[in-house]
Amino acid sequence: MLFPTVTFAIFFAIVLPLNWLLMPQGRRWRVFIIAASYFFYGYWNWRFTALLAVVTVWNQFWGRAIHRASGDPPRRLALAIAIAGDLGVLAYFKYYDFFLLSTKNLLGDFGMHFNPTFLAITLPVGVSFFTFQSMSYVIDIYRKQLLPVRFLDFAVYVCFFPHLVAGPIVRASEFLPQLRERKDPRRIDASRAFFLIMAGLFKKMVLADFLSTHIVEPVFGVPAQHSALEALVGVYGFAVQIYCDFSGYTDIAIGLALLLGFRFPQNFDAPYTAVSIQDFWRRWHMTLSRWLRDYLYIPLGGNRGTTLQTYRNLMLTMLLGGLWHGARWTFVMWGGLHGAYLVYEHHRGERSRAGSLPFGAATPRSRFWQRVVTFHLVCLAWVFFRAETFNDALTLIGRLFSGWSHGSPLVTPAVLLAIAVGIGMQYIPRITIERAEEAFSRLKPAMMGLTLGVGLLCIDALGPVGVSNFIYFAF
Amino acid sequence: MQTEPRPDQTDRDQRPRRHVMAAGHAVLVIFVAFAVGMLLNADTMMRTAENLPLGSSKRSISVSVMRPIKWVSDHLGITEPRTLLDRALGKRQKQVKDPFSAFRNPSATPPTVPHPGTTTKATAPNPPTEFVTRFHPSTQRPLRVYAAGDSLSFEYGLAMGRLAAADPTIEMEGSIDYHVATGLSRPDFFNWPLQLDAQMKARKPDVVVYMVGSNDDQSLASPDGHTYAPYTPGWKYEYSRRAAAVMDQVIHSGRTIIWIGCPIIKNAARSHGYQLINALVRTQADARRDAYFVDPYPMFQDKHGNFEQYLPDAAGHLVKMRADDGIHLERAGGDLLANATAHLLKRIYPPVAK
Repeated sequence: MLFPTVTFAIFFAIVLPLNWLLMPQGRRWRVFIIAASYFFYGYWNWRFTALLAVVTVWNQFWGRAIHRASGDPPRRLALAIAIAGDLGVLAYFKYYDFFLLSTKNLLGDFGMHFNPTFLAITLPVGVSFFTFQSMSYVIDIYRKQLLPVRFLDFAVYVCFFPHLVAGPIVRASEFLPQLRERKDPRRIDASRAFFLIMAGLFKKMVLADFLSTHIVEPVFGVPAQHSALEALVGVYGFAVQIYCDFSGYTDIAIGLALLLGFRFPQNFDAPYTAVSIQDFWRRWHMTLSRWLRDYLYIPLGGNRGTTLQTYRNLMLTMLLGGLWHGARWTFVMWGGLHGAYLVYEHHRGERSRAGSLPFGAATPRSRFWQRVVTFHLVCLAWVFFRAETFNDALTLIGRLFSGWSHGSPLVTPAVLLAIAVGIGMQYIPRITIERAEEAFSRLKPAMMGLTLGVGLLCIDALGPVGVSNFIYFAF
Repeated sequence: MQTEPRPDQTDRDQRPRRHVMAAGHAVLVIFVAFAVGMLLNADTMMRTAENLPLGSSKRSISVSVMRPIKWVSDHLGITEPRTLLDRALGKRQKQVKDPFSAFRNPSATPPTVPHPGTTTKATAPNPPTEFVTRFHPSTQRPLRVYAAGDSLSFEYGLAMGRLAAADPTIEMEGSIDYHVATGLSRPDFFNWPLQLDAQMKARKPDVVVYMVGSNDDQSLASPDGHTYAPYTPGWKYEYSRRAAAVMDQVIHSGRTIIWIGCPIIKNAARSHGYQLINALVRTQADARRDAYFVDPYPMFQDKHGNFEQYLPDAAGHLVKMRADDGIHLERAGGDLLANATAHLLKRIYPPVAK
């Protein structure tokens, strides 16, 4: 079930009142929200609800086993089994066919025959997100930062529909305590929730889908056919599209959770205002970068070893972060580029601290150029992320340096406006947004509903016909 | 990788405080928003409901729900803002009763269509051997191609673009003009004759490559008001008439049309229907000069005639040709089909010898 559809609107209009009516009856509420979430998930493909159930039972079982085990070796063994199971699910659904295909073709090159049976099924939506959340639960139990919770609580945590299919990746330690809180149905931060939902719909349906159809798909589909200007605007277009698509989804998810009485962590914080790549990763897909930091980078040694070890850890984390997105070498390249950027920044930072590089105070002008450079480095990496093959990525980059004399019919004022809005909205001061939210919150419910209804009209009219999938549903 | 507090976040006391709301009020807001949204969008929502497959229960329920809402909206006169917005954004096509006769040249030979009751074999006739060569493309005067179709045509259109980028005698006129969930069955949802007319005028191609059909396995309503269930004699007649009309529309504008049929899909029952659609379209193409049919159906079959997702490419490496949904094409699948089209194009329009 996609958020921006009438089907979901009907589903949510039923779930919301029942959620608050059943909230005082803890057990019944849990059963209800699990049933609603499984219905939401099963609407795509009901068979995958079994996968969701298996992942839930598996991690709860091993979470408890880790907690009960005495001594480190059995605890470590239980953790290893739990993680192997989770990674096995990911590997099976995301990388199995890719691995078999590569093996078959490699053996074929040496004259050996291998006839594998491919899975040939659509990737279960959200599998990367709910396995990562479940892994955080068992790892936190292993680290003694969390106690196992009741099965129903854990099941709610894994399947809670606002975050189920594309995050944000909510930690068990962030969500589970909220299940024990007594929620006051008279005090919901509904105006912020509505504000976020409308902002998310606007980003997704008006900006992301428009840019996708009008510039990104044609340019990345056939890079050699387009002029330098179209290639450049296509890359900017994709940078805005993926931001609006993913942060739009996250805004809607956070808004829905707020209406149901839950707080989710922030996932984006104006990423294209970043002044460095390190800063970018503090603002982009924040819940994934936190996850990778706490469950991969730090266990690898973080920055506690030698400089070279730190660089290795950074590179490994970013390469695996790239691979998390799917079985494609272009994703690995995207991760590798970000890893290289981070290593370079780390190296430069160390030289500055050692005094071998001049250290100037940040001025508005220097910050402006830092932002410009960071944005373009991020865009360069997006080329590999979006391109289907290395060849396409290199062709597209090559077009930037040739073909300036060609016509650019795809670069329309509407496309440029959408890109400008997508980037410009990240520079709106937070205080301005909060003031707008505060003014909106003072409206009477009927007036608020009327405003939202008119907003829905505008979004639906400005967006293209139909709703396309969110990009991160594929990861 | 944690976010640091921003300067404008530090002084929390100065930040505006939002008013909180009771859950009941939040539910009320949602219902008011839906009601207002539905009333303002009633016209569009009614059209969306009507565009669901003819005869389906989902369509009946949706239309029944929307009818009173549209009645209220019409009487309040509040559908106008949406209508104006749609017109301003070019989102509304002109509705005509029978778009498939709108662009027919009155002096043209009537389309060859099998009459109701005619049985159509789902086997492919021989490929055409005679070609109508209008000119010999060269690097100075390349063959201008416009590609259009439904969602299945997307990867194919991109592949045609890649092919043209590597061949200076072929030039794609703009990007692939694809429209999701469209076909010949529902001109009330998407009017292809109107779209082709506008795009042919704007892009001025020599050749139109057109790929629809995969959404057409649904009931058809004829101009006289009859609704025909898929693959009944009346349905075959009406579908053939529409395919013929589109071919004639392109041919009478002085262009060549290459019609790409439906490829086999994972669902065997639907695939069987696609074979029939292909046979109907091929019959129309065979009856016309300047109309050609490319049959992608066998290109994605295994040796037993079943759907195959992975097939060898030109280099002999196994590649993923079809998407995991068992319907759409992957990049390699698009390339395979584009190469077959290019092969046909070279025979119809042999380039100037170097």
